[in-house]
Amino acid sequence: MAQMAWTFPAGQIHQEVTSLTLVNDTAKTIDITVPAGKAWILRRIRIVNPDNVDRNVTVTLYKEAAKTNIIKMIHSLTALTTTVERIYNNGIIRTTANDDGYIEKDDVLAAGNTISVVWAAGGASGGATDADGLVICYEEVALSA
Amino acid sequence: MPSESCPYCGEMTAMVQDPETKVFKSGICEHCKKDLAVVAASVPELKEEKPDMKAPNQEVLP
Repeated sequence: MAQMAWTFPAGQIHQEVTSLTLVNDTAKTIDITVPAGKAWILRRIRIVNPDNVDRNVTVTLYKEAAKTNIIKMIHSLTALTTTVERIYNNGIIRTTANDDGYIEKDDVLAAGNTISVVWAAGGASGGATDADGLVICYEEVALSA
Repeated sequence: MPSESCPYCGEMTAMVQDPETKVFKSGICEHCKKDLAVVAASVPELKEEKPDMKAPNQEVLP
């Protein structure tokens, strides 16, 4: 009888949790860079807007930490309503009303590539914090010379 | 390691990993030296809904 085996392509599984603090009418940027000597297979990004006003959220993948060259826009300028989360899955869109962002299947990031998430200033607000406002799930592969 | 924009000076500064929870949190801005953890403590914290395991079963069987 034939068997189907589920295998991971490679690497160590990481679920990097980052706290997020949004301040009244102030944009917020969080950058995460792939370390030297590593490659990442990006699996999922979770983004939350904990504030009490809508915030436009942009997710951009840059070639380098200096954020000079854009490889692609993962998601561009869509209002994330208050206390709502958005999840970009690998190859799947988890839809909300205006969600058009997704991660391509087996999207491999090279060392130095930088994921930059920007919450735009949303006007006067109370500000807010979320202990797990940004979560990035990936498999990390060590590269040999 | 993640870095975040400072709400005071706008520059990017490294976040600090909590040794116990491994969560990356705000630290002191490398540029303007303001403590960003104080900012995080000064705004409301989002309490996300979690399933209530003690709630009575609302399912009605035929």
